[in-house]
Amino acid sequence: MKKSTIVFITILSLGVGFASAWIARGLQPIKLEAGLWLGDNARALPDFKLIDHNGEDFDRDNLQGKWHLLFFGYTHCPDVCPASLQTMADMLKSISDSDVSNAIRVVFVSVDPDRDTPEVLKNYVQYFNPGFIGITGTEQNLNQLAKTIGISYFLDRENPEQVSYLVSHSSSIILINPSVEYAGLFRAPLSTLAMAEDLTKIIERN
Amino acid sequence: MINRQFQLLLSLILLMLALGAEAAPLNITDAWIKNLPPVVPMRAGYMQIENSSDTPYRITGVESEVFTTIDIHESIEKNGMMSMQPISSLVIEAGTTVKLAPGGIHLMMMEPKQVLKPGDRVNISLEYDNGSTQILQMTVRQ
Ligand SMILES: [Cu+2]
Repeated sequence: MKKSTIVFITILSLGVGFASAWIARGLQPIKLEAGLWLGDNARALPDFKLIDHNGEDFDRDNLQGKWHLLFFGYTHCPDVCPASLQTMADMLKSISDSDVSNAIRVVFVSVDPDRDTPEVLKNYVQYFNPGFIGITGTEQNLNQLAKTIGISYFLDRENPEQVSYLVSHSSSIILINPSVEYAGLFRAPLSTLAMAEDLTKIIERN
Repeated sequence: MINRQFQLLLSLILLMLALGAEAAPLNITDAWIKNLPPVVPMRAGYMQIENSSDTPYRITGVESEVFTTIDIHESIEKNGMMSMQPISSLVIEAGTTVKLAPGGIHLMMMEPKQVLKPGDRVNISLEYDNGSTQILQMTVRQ
C-alpha cells in the first residue's frame, strides 16, 4: 500500500470515529437515575424580569454561562420547600470537590412576593447555602416565567389583606443549561445521591 | 388459704393492668423539627409513631409551650402542584406504624416563641381521643 493511501485511510477512519461519537452523543439519551433530560428538545427560555435577594434586576442574562436549578416556592412553606432546598444543598456539598458543583447554581423563585421581600428571601436561601440565589417579582412577571416553564402555582388567598395563607406550587426542579435553555427536570421526591449522579453525568457530557 | 392466694394474684393482675395503662401507649421515635432561619414563622415536625397495641389510637390535638399552635398537615400532590391540607385527627390503627416525613404528613408548628437552633429540644404533648396524653421530646435538626 502506498504511504498516502495509509494516511488517507487513517484520517478517514478517525473521521468516521469522531463523527459517530458525535452523533451518538447527540442522539443517545442520557440515562438518568432520577431526572428527565430533554436532550435535543431543550428549548430557549424567553426573557423575564425579576429581582434578586439584593433588590437587583434579575433576568435571562443572569442565567448565562452556568447550569441552574430553578425551584418555585415560598418561604412560609415549612415542609416541601425546605426539604427540596436542603436536598440541593446536601447534593452540592456531596460533590463539592468536583468542578461540577462549581458549574451549578441554585435559584429559588418565590411566588409569594408580598411576604417574601428581598431581605426575607436572602435570609432564607442563604440559610441553606450562601451561594443560593432568591428571586421574585411582580405577580405578572412571575406568572410569565412560570407559564413559559410550565410550572403552576396558586395562592390560596381570598383578598390581598389576608396575611396567613397557603400556596400550592409545583415541586419539580427545573434544569437550565448554560445557553439558558430549559434542558431537564427533577421531580419530587428527590434523592441527594441520584441528583448528584445525574448532574455529574449531564455536565460532564455537555 | 386458697382464697388469700387468689386475692394476692388478683391484686397483682390489677397492679399490672394499672401499670400497663400508665405506660406510654404508642412508641414514638425519630421525633425532630426541621430548623429554619428566624424569618420563617413556622416549622415542620416529623416522627415515627408505632401502635403495637390491639386498639386504634386517634390523635386529636398537639400542644407545646414553644409554639402558638400546632396542627397536623399533609402535603399532597394535586394537579401537578403540592399543597398542604389540615388533618383534623390522625388515626394510628392497631398494629401499624405511621411515619410523619418531609413531603407527607407533618406537624405544622406555628410561631415559635423562642429562637430555635439545631440541637435544641422541644417538649410537645399529643392528645388522644381516649382522653390520654403523651409527652415527648423533639430535637431541632439542621
Ligand atoms: Cu404544613
